[in-house]
Amino acid sequence: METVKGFIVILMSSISSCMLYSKQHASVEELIGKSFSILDTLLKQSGRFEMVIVEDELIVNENPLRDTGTHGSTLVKRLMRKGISRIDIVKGITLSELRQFVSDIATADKKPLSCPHIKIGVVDIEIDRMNMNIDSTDGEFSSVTSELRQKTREGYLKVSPFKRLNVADFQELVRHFIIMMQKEIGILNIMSPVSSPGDSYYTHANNVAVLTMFQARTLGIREDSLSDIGIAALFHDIGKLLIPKDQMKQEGGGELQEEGRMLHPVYGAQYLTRIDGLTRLAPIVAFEHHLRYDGKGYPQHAIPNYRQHICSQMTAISDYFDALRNARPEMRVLEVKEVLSLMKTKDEGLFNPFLINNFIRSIHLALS
Amino acid sequence: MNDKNKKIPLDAKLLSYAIIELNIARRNVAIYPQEHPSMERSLTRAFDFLKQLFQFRPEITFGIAKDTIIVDEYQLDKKNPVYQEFALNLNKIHIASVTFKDGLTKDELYQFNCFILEKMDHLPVTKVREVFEKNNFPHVAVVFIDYGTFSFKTSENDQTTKEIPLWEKYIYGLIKNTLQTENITDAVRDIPPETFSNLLNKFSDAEIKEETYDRVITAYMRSSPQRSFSGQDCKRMFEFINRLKPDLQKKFLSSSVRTFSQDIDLANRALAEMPFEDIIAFLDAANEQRIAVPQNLMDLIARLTPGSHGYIGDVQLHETLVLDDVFLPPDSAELLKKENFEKLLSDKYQQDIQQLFVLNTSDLKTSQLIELEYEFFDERIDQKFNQIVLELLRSETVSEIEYRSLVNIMRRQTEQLLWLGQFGQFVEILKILEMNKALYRFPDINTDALEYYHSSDFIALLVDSLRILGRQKRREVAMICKYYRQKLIPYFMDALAEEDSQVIRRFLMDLLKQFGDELIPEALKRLADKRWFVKRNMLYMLAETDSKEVAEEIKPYCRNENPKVSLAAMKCLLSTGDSYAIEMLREFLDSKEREKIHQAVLLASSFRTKEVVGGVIALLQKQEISGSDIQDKIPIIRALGEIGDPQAVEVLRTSLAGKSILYRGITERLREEIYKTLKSYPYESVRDLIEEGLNSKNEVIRTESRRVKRNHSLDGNR
Repeated sequence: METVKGFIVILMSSISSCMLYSKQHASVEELIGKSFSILDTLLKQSGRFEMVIVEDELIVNENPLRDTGTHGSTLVKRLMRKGISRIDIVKGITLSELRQFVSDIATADKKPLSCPHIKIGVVDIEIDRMNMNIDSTDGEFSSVTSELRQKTREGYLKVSPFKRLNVADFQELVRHFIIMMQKEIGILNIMSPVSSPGDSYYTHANNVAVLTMFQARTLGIREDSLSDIGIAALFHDIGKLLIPKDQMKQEGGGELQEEGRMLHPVYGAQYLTRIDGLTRLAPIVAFEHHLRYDGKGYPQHAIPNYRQHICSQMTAISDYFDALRNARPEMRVLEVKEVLSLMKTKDEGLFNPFLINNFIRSIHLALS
Repeated sequence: MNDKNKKIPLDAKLLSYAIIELNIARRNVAIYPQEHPSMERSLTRAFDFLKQLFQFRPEITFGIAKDTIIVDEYQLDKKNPVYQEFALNLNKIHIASVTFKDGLTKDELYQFNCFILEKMDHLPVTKVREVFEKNNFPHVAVVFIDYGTFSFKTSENDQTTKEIPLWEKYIYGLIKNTLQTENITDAVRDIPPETFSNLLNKFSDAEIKEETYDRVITAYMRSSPQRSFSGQDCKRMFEFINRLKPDLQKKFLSSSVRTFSQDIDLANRALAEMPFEDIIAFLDAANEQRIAVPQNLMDLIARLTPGSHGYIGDVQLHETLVLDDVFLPPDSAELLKKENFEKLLSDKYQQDIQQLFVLNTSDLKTSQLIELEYEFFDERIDQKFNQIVLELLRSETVSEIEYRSLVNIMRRQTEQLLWLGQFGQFVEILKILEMNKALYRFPDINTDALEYYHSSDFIALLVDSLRILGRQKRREVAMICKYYRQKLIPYFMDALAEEDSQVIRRFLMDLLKQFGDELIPEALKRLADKRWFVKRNMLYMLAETDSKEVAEEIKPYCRNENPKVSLAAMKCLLSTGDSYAIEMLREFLDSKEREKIHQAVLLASSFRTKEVVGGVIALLQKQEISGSDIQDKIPIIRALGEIGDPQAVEVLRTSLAGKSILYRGITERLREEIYKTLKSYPYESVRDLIEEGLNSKNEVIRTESRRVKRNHSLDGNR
């Protein structure tokens, strides 16, 4: 089993290197060579190498492969994304067949084809017809159920470092948003106004998620990334709910409260890194959403010329837009166009110009 | 299971308790011995619940679909953490279903729990099955997952379509009034509202009997000893009503308003648990449908007003306005004031917007979009994630628990970093751990982590990745070498000995050379290796160090039977100027073995060893017998040229004077070679040969002579 795990690690590293560098890069060639040599050993031992994916579990030669770490889970994700759940490799495989396979897996929008020694397909299970109580939430619906909204609202507002976050509920919420967007429901209709101060965090989080996914769609980002983008944006401000009480308020001045405010990205990222099953974009966005495109902003960081992830840049735009869009006491309600104008013209360096232009144009188009 | 058993439904509450107690018992087995009171207690409770279930059926089967328990054809609540835990623990050891049979004893149940707890998740199914069979449980049957049933299909088109036959049947039963009302409460509540409403929407108001509306609403609101009408049920009911088409919605709304006002306590309990906005939405819907809401219900709704809680408000910090967490510069904040209405939509903005619309969207499909796609590759996200974790490790806000968790995350990530050649981030991890250790910040965690990064298993992995990917990241690799210092040397040397690729061998040698004198002890140790190439490599590396101190240990290798080893040993000694090497060179030059002579000439040439010039001259003076003898003199001439000792000029002159009719071509090449080396001798000692060469018929000789003369003139002028 250790050799199999070793193979998965090196195979995935070959695919990753192929994506990060190029197919011709020396590292890719070296890693494919190493994969090939381990595979050769495995095929000599058992004569076959059958990889099956059942849900998120990787099964090799009829044995589940556990503890393959990031490599295993990334490989499963990558293959599932390409609609592959079964790969059979047989003796006689050539280096060029493996090279082609790695390259096809690494290339976005390309599905690898079977070749004489690598059969690619899907898993099927022959079962008798059973009367199963099937969860039909995949079915026809257009809006988020109040139950789901309530469940996620509670889960969000009662977040605690000592309580497990039920990621599945939030994923379901985001899935609903995506379906609503796919049904071309007006973007501003999906968003909600803040109905009470206590509700503001949750409503804002929802709105930012919707707006960020909206941006991603207008930019042509792959649909399979939308859910992760939505989840990441949904949790962007989770750190605010985790600020220690002593940093929340201080009598006689705002200094300490200010410190807490400036540290919420750190608290959020700290919390989100520990949540199993959550997209890794979430802690990234939580940490970076108050960094500015010109490198300023907060929190402080050690890396010179720090560049935000694109999802953090999009979330920053959504965050700002929604914050200004919400009515506040003593302030007039800004029209959407006014908010956009403020974002575009008043603070150069705050946003990625490409993204803010796209956002403004898309919102205008959506409104028209 | 036979048909008779199927007909007797299990008590849901009892089933739930049984699973909870089974799970507690499983946990307790891991903690307590069998005779411990806590163990005894939990086992008895689990056993008792199973016994009660056996009154319904002689055997109970729990199907395990990864994290979901299936009893009969029903999935138990997928989100219940206890069910999940119970299922996952069985799934971990490849169990697809477990059946408890009447006659089960407490001891058997205990032994079964012990079996579940055995560390077997790394074992293949066949092995786990063997362990189970050895245990011989007469009243527990287990079906293991047969991974072989996952058959291969080359197309995904033939996917099974999802069906909901039970619900369809139920709805038809409801419409036709063939269902027993007593049994429908739980069923109605369990159907997802959207499914329920979608199915009902297939019928018109006229097709549905009047009493059906009240029956459904009553089914939602009916309390049972096992289940009371809760806010969740109420929300599901509203959800269901909201999704109905208007004619049906009105009927169901009327029915619910009527039922609520008839049982105001029930309404109070349920509505109090609901969000205010949902209640208002319900009221709005009723108003829209012109349904009169009785006063007692109106009063109740009025009482249920929303509360508010913690929120970071907007603050004014100096000149900056902070809206929630968005910082607005003073001039922007100014625009938000009521009197500045209209100022925001400046002409410039309007122009900008126009320009944005002129932009052709197809223009966006360029490098920017390719870059956008790249940002969402798993690898890029992982890279960024690692960066964030490193930032958090530096942060002063992390608690000890969080710090440990972050360190563990990085530990798990390290292998990936190494195999992607992201050595820079790996160096960062080491730096942070060392820095925090030096600052006495969570010292135990840092020490533990550093111990891992210094373990032999880890270093072997590191060196393997450096071997393959290090050439592309030399700067980072140098930093890693600097950090680990001599600890890496034996691993690099092992890798060098095993490496087939010449390119990688050269890279490894380069890396080893960076260690300077630190590699001497390991290299000396490996001189004893039986493989000649290992000896040679070690001698090569020793030659790069200040190996004077180790000369004595190298000397014996000058006489090694393998000429490649002896050559390397002599090189090593010559690099230190050791006199033993000169003696050896002389000995080699006097040798009768052609290979040894050849080696000695090359060494004398590359080290410009004046001490052996006599021996080299003697070789040139030797009488040639064949053409190859003349050919052999070419490297000797070159060696003499490198040494540049004027003693050699006389014998060169002699060689130039020699004539051969048989070997004219090779003799002419020898003469050309001599002229190519004349630049190395003092000009005065070769002046006559140069003058002669200027008039030679041989183009090469003429050119070389002109060059030497010109250079000499230039030197004189300088």
